Amino acid sequence: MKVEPQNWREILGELVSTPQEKERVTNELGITSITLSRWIAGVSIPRVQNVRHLLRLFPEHREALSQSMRKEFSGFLDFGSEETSPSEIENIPANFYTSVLEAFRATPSSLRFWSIAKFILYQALEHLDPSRLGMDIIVAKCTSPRPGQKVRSLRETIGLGTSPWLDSLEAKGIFYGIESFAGYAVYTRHSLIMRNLTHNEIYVPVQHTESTASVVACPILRAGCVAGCVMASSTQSGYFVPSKLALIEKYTDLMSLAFADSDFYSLEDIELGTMPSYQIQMKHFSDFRQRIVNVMKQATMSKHPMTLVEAEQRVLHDLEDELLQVSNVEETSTSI
Amino acid sequence: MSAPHNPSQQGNLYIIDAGSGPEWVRQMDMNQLITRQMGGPFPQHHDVSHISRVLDLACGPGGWVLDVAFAYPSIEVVGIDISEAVIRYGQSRAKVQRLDNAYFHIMDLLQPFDIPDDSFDVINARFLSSLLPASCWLALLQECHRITRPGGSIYITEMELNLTNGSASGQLFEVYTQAIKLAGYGFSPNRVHLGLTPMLAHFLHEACYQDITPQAHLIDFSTGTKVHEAFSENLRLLYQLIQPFIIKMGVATAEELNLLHEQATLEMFADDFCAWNLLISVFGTKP
Repeated sequence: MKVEPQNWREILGELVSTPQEKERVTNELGITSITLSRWIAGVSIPRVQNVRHLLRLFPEHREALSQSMRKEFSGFLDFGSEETSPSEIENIPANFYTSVLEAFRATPSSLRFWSIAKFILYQALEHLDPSRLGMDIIVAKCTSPRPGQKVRSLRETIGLGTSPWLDSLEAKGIFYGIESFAGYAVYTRHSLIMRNLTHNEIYVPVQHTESTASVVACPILRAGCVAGCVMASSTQSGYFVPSKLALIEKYTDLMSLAFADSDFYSLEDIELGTMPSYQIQMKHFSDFRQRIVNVMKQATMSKHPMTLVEAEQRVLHDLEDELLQVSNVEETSTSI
Repeated sequence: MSAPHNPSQQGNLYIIDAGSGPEWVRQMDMNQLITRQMGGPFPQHHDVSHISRVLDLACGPGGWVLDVAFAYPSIEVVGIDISEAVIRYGQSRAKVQRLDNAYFHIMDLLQPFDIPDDSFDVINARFLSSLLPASCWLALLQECHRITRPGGSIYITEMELNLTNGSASGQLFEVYTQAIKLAGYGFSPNRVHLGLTPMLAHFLHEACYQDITPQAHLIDFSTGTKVHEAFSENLRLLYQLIQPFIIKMGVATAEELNLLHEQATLEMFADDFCAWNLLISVFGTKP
């Protein structure tokens, strides 16, 4: 019976068991084969830089390698993410604040939300997950209510991720209600963390994919009012240590620049409903764009033409109504 | 990649403002899309084992530089751009990703490079068509040849053609090609394509590169494809950002462009929208 490798040294030993693979690793890291053999034999430990490079060379084994490395190097090696230079790790570079303010000044208001929010997401993603272990960050924005109504949902408006969320170059556009982690963060107006979703620590419902191992949500605040939240998911359990949470909160504060004053709501103006699952929502969103086209055509035929933004807003309100209704029906049938 | 900051060099014919936040984001999105569509930062089946230094021309926010620096820790990657702001931003990105093999420098493509002969194994350039006047291509490639190591390569990639059943989308592309032609960019005899990529092989040959090989990548972003939304959004943003330039060139008015833009957006929303983008890469080797 084949014995499974127990620690990162044994895993590495198996990964470089062929001469071709051994040559690839030594070439990439710029080390000798003797050094590699010493690591595998437990005679020496790699430098921080080499640990990071090693994880990059075996993306499919990152989780197993990094878990074992964390155990062995606990306290004095954290893949360069904690101890090397706390000020650089925990703070947003001053240059980036300058770049955001320059972009804020130069960007027309019609493009402000999209460009500032995405600009910040790129930097946050690269800063929070420099080893590309797998992270997804989204901005969920309070859905502007119809006149006289309260905010009833949040909507994922923009997102960015590394593998396995690479395709999130476009946000999925789904709604979040009070059942969601994002909704709960908005209600409490405090950052929330789930450190380990694989160990049943879920005490607040959260919509997540199979890849999500830990998640954090931070509300976007201005003068006591809230515009939505930034939510980050990681493939790694326990990833959001206090220094990383502090960093996400700083990026969330910066994110508020992307929003107009009218995007912020006081707590009494928010009354989130319950939204159905992602799968159900996707069915309703399947003809989202065609519905916008139809609304515009109808508006033109009735001699009250609409802009694209107005038509999109109308369709979103209709979808929000439909999905809240779906949840109500689900709840009723469950209670029966 | 960024347009020159110094108006005197280009007769104040900026196509897109180099300091524009939306343009940086658009370029970062586009870099991700293109790199994924092309199967990675280097051409597929290209032997990278002997590459130690690479250069990216007009690197913009540094997407390609950082991708290579991350994937190949032993390769030193240098990005150059004329915009000080974008270089500062690239450096900031490299710092937070702790990529100590990525470097960014301010340099002007229209001037001789402050780089010694035979310095790089690979020189990469994407989407220079709207940055480099037609009259400057040969001089740039000769300068690239000077700094390419013997046995080294150059990769140039341009988006040449937008084929679509969308009437307004097609018209917007025609307006764009007409404007950049008037400003002295591209080699198109008409408004249908940029006319640049057929010239690239010729220029590389003139610059003494050998083994010149073109390669086409077709990007289908019709409704229903995986990249439809991302590509459509990027294109819509591009047309918005180049609007001031097109108006300045007198090719269309703001009202005409706004109308076309809204029609093009609706076309892209339609279930039967079909569109292909033709990317063409040309590779050359220095003997």
